[in-house]
Amino acid sequence: MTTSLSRRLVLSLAAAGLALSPIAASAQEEFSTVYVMSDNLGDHGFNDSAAEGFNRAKEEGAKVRLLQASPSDPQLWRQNLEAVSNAGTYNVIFTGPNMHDNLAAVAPQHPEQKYVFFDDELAQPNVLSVKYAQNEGSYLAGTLAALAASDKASFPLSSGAKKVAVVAGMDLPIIQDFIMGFKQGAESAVPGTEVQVIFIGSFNDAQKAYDLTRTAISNGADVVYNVAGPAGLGILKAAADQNKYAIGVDSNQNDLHPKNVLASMLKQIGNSIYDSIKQVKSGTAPFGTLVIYGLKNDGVGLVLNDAIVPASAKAKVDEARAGVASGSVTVASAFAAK
Amino acid sequence: MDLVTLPAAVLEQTVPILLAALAAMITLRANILNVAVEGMMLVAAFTAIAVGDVTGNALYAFAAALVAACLVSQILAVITLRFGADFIVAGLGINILASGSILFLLERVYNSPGGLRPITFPDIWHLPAGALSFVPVLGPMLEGQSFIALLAILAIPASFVFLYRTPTGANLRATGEDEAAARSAGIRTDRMKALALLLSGVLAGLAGAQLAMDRLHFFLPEMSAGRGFIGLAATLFGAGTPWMTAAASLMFGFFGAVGDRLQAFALPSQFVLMLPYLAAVVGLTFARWRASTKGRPAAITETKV
Repeated sequence: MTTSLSRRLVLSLAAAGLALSPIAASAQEEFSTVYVMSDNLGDHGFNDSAAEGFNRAKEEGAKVRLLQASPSDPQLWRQNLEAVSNAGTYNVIFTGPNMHDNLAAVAPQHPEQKYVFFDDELAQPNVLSVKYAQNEGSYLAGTLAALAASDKASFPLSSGAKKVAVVAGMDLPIIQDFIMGFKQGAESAVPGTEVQVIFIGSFNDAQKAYDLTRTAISNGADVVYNVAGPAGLGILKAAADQNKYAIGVDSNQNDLHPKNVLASMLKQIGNSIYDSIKQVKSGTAPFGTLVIYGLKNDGVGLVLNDAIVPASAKAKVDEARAGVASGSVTVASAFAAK
Repeated sequence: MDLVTLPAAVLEQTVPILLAALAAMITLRANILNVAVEGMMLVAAFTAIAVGDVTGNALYAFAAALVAACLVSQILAVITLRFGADFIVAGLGINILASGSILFLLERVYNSPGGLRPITFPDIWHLPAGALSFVPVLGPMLEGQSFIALLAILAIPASFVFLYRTPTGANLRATGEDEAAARSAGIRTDRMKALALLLSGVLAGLAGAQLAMDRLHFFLPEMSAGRGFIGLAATLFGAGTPWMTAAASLMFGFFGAVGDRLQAFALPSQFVLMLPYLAAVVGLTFARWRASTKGRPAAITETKV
C-alpha cells in the first residue's frame, strides 16, 4: 500500500511539474501556426481538444489560426491546405483526420514547408505524423472494468461475476485497437474476466446502442465500455437505466451519469499539439517520423470519476499506468501486425 | 439467448420501423412513394428534445414533435402537389433539408453540432411493470413499453379501418389506384394526396418521438439510422396493406433483436448485422415475385376488356 501510495505521489508530482514548468517565454518572434480542419469546432471531443492545445500555445505568444470547414465540403479542405502552403508564412501547418490524400498531394510540392499530421500517418520528410495509443488507454479502462466487475464490496452496483462488455461502433482496425487493449487490461487485472464484444454497426444509431447495452447487461456484464462515438451516449444511458457501470470515451463523460460512469478514456489531442508546437519552436521536432502518444507522454489517459472509484481501485489503475509508461508492460495493438 | 426478454426487445425494435412503415403505407395507397419518412422522423426527434428541454413537459414535447413532422409533410405536399415536383426527388430533398437545417440549428442555437442532450428531460409514460402480468407472453412483452409503442400497435387496426371502412379512405385509395378516374368521379385527388402526406407526417412524427423520447432523451444527427427506409421496404413487402405491412415490420424487428442477441455467440458481427437487411432483400424479392405472378392474369383480362 505504501509503495503504491508513494508511487502515486511521485507520479502526481511529476505531472504537476510538467504542467507548471516554465516554458521558454522568449520564443522566437512571430512564431505562427495554422490548423487546416475538415470539420467544425464545438464537438466536445476531438476538435475542441485540439483547439485547446492551440490556445495554450497562443497564450505563450504563438500566432494561431484555426481554419474550420464544413465536414461535407472536402474541396474546401484541399483549397485551405493549398492556400496556407502557398502562403509560406507559417512556421508549421497542422492538419488531421480525413486529410491523408490531400496532404499526400500537397506536402511533396512544398518541401520547405513543415507539416504536423495528427491521428494519422504520412511518410514524407517534411511531415511529422502523430498518432494516439488508444490501446494503452483502453488497457487502463479494461483494468478498471475488471476490478469493478469482480469487487462487489467497493463497487455496489456490480454483481461480482467478473463479466464486462465492450459495445463498439463498427469493426474497424482502430476500434479493434481499443478492444485489444481493453481485453488485455481486464485479463491482467483480474484473470478470468469474461469480455463480451458487441458491435452496433453504426456510430449514430444510439437506439441500437441502447438495446445492445441492455443485452450485454442482461447477459451479466457489470461494466460496459463505450467505443461508439456519438452513439455511445445511448450506451451510457442504458447502463444508467439498468443501474450498472459504464466507461466513457473521447471526452470526459463522467458527469453525464455521475453515479454510473466510472471513468472516461481520453485522447489528449491538445497535449500532443501543444507538445508538437513546442518541439517545432525549439527545432527538435522529428519530421519525417511517426510519434505515438501513449500513456508515457500523456497522449492518452483515463479520467476517473473519484466519487465512485475507491482509492484502492485508483491505486491499481495507477499501477497499471506506471507499468505501461515504464515499458514493463507492452499492450498489444491491432496495428502491430503490419 | 434470453428468451424471456426477447419478445419485448422485438417489439421495441419493431415500433419505430412499424410507424415508419405505416407512414409510407398511407401515402403508397395514394400512389406516392414517400422517401421523406426518414427526414420527418429526424425533425420530430429533434423537436421533441428541443421542446422538452425548454418546457420540461413530455406532452408538449410529444405534441410538438407531431406538429413538426406534419409541417414537414405539408412542405412536401406543397412542393409536389402545388408546384408539380417529382415525389422521390422532392422527398430526398426534404431529407437533406431536414438534416441540414437541424445541423444549422444545433450549431447556431445550441452551439453543439454533435447533438442535443438536455441535462434533465421529462420521462414519458411507460406501461408499469406488473400491470399485465396475468397475461402470458403478451403481458411481459408490453410491460415497460412507452405509450407511443401502444399507439403504434393501435395504429395498425386504425389504418385498416380508415382505409377500408371510411369514405375518405376509399377516396384516398381510389386516388392511388387511378387518379384520372377518381377525379372524374368528383374526388379532389390533390386533397387526398395532401391528406395522405399529413397522416404520414403524424405517423412519422410518432416514430421520431419514440426514438428520441422512449429511452434515450437526447438527439443525435442521423439517429434514425435508416429506419425510415427500412419502413418503406416493409411497406413494399406488405404490398401496402396494413396487416401485411405490420407483419413485415415485425419480421425486421425480430431479425434485428435476434441478431443483437446472436452477437453473444461469437458469430462474426458483420454477418449478424446483415440479418435485417438480408431479410429486407429476401422479402422484397418475394413481394415482387408474388406481385408478378398475381398481376399477370389481371393484366391480360384488362387488355381484353
